[in-house]
Amino acid sequence: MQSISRRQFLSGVAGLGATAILAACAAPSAPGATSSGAAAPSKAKVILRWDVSDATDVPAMLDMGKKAAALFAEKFPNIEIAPEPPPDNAEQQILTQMIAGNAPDVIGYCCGTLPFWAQKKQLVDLTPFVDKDMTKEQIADYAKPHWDAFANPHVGRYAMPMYMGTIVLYYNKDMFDAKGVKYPDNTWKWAVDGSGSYEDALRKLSDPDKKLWGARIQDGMDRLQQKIAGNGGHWVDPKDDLKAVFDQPAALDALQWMWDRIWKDNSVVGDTAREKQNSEQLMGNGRIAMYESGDWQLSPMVKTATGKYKWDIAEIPQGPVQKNTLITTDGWAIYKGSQGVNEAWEFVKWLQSDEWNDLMISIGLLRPSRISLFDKWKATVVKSVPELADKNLDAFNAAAKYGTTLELFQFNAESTEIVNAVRDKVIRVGDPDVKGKFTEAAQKVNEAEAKATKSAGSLLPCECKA
Amino acid sequence: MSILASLDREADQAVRTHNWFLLIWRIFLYVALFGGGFLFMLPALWMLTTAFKTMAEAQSFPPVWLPTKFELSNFTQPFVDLPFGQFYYNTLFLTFSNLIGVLLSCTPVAYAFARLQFRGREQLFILVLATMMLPDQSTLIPLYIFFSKLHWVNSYLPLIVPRFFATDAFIIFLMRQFFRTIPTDLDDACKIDGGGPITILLRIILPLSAPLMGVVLIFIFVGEWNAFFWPLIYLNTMEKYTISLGLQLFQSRYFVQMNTLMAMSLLSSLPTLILFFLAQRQFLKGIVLTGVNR
Amino acid sequence: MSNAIESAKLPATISTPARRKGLSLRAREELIAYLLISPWIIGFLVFTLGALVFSLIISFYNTDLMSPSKFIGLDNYKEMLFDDELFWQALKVTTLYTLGVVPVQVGLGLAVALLLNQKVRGLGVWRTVFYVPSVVSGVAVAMIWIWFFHPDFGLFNAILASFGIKGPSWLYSETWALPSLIITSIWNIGPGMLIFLAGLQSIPKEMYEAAQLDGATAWRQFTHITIPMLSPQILFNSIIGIIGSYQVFTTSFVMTEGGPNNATLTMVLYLYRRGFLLARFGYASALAWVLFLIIMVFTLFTLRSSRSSVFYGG
Repeated sequence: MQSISRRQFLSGVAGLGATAILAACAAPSAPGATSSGAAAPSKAKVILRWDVSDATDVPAMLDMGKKAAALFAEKFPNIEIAPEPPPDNAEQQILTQMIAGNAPDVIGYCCGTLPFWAQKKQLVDLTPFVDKDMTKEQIADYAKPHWDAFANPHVGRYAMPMYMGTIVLYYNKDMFDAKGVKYPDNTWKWAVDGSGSYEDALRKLSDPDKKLWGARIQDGMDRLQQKIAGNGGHWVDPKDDLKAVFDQPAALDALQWMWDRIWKDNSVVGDTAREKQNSEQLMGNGRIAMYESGDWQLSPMVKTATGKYKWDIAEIPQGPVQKNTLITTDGWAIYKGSQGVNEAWEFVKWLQSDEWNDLMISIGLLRPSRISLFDKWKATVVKSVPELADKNLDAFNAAAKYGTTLELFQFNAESTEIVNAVRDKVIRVGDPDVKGKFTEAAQKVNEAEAKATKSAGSLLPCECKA
Repeated sequence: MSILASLDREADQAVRTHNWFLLIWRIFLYVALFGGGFLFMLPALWMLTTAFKTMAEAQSFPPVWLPTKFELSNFTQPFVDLPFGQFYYNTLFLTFSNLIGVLLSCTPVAYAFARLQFRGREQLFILVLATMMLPDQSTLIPLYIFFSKLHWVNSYLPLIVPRFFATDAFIIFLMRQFFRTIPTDLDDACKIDGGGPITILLRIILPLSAPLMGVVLIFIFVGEWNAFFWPLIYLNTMEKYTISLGLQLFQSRYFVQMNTLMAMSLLSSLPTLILFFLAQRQFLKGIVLTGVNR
Repeated sequence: MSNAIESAKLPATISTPARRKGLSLRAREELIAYLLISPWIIGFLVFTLGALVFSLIISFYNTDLMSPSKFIGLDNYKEMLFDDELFWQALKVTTLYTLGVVPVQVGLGLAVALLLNQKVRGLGVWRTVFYVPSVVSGVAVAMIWIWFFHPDFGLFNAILASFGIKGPSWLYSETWALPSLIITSIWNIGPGMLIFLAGLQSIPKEMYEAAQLDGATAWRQFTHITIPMLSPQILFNSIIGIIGSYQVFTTSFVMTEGGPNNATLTMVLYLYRRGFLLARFGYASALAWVLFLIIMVFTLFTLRSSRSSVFYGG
């Protein structure tokens, strides 16, 4: 009996000190809108705390949240939605609340953090709800990789899609005109040896001595993976999520391509050289002619470029093996400790409805996850932001057809530190031993994953090991 | 020279009496003041000019120092988008309750540690210091569990109640250092008149501690006004948010509204600056020992 | 709440029982002392002790606080000391940071306090000017710093360039990132400066008048009156400086995220990553307690070595 249960442990340890003294003095009056209200008989109103996420600017998210709560209340009068601002540093705040059994019932977040919380058994597996309530046709309305991105074999389905972000190529037309370079189109490609039309334009548009670059291509794991996928490689072994395969030739060549652009021909601005300027800043200041980014850049571009320079968007240039781009994975998850999981599911389901998506399109300009709503998105966006009328917004929609999502290791948090360090060393600081360093890192990742599996074996109940 | 002389009476005198050493000293003083002052004001100056810029100007590199047209909406729009009036009210409420709590609870504790003899004094004082030595990030979870068991989460109780129980080791330590410097012969005089420790605290120590109290007042006010870490943890809903929590809402994952952020940061630091200016004038003007021997 | 206020007010009304006959003067003082510190004792037992013990206990466990925990004895500490390069890196970074920051904050803080204690025009305005950076806080300030350190257009390299020196890339260089963070601490001397200023104001003017009558030079007055009389404040600022800089988090979290290549990975940032990003709370707590021990040793050392040199009145 070496291990003790979590509840025993927490209450035992937290009970130390003089908790009791104060507990006796404290009036047991329940404060405002916490989920503890849900402990009341089931006929009473269920209050659901909803972390609205920071997917776009927060005042807009909160505005949407308030309106959504009102709309939802019309349909479900006995469920009250209480929107909350997304806390700064959610990794710390939300996890703390989860441990104390006090997290928001519905949480909007993204990337590797949602599966991490799911792995820690803090999120509800939505598989049975989806099976019960959603038809095949409804599911087919999502891009398959996007739909699949919110589930894995270890924890089931941990979230529903929030919106779809896809990475495209933003470019400054004036800079292209000045250098006499043709605008990017669907024929653009990149090649491992640097001979593609993309690299050609990158070089023509850059002037390293004057600190002018062809483009900014971000070096986050999701973005590096996107280049690797374009070259037919993978980051994580698709058959075994404990194994790194970024030491395979296809991946290493893509990483080398990235390094060459930043450090060999200086045609892509490295993370160090950009000096914390945002993409739209770099472009506005004439430092870069292109950058790869998502839909969320539309609003900053309109705000900063209008009246200053002409710009447009294109699809991401095709890789040596295939066309590829990144689909982002913001999702809505339900907290396992929620007192109203069924009600929360009702709400998350509503967050997939036309009603909510209309709200999201018109206020947040976010693109719905459902492909059938893309055209509506385009029409609404153009109507509310006339500057976007002449922009190639179809590039976003096209990306939904061939895009893929972030690849994650089973214990991705453990590997992140290793991967960040090698990325810093090679891509950011410029160590020329790209292949050696990444191969070494892949081994370290494999070791860390194996170690984490072992220690998780003693921690997690057996269902996770299978 | 005439500029300096008009600035400074003593420099003027130095010129007239040919006290060149004093003159050089006065010149050095003003060079240090203007040079250092400029350097220290730079962040605030940049904040001030950025607060009036348009988004495009706020983002331009190389930076534009002065805005070409004044974007006043940076100051007004946030009050439309977010309940900033409420944030100010909440922050004022928290700041003043905690000001009272810390002053009432920490002063006697610091006085006892500084001036009274009791068994275990040194060991207990090390314990006071020790409470500052464990990082907040490592006590966060147990404290959050504790307060959520009391159903105090999303209320101001976890932020206020502990302050009434002398949990501010920094303030205790600071007060103790000052209380210890006050000569004890004054106490003795009071003791002869039959005064106990409490009389000494009220009649001698506090009146002689005006500069310290000014500093303490400023520290607590600034600290509470800008508090971020703990309010962020305990407050969930926006109606309960404070100004510094409100400010973080201008940043989303992909984007920071620099000009609005600067405008609101500026507005939020004005009250503390005014308080500082007034408090330093009131408290930091020197005390005369004999003056209290009434 | 009302209970809290009552007990905080206690000291003011407590003198009656203490006046009882039969208690020696000494015992009476001791009783009053305990009553005066009782708010702290209650606060410590209720709000602090539990959290301290909690983190100490879990430092001997392998736990994510969400699934069953396993007692592993000293394994966390062993791993840290013998099998964790990042721990040593974080310790190195934090120690260098402390060594860089504390002398600046104490030395420069004292210098500015002396400057602002002179009879000059517009004293209040000057004091406010030097305190401004300590009032303005949060994200906005980090943004400003990032701009100041900008290699091309930043303030520092502009100044260096005017002397014909090509400045480094500051926050973006493995060598210069930590020194950059140390430099930002110069702007944060406000609180230390203020404490010195209050200390200076508390020195009785009569002492200087007497010294002047004895014909002491300004320098002699400084070394024989000002410095000894300020020694409690110097001690305070040093200890608070050590405690604060060993726990530095926000600066590196916001400005460099610990990078590049962990060049600014501080102890608390590392602890935060182990705790909240990996949910290895046992390990994070072990880190916290090692940090606690280091700070405690430094503090006790400073307190002890100050015993002979710090002058308290009376």
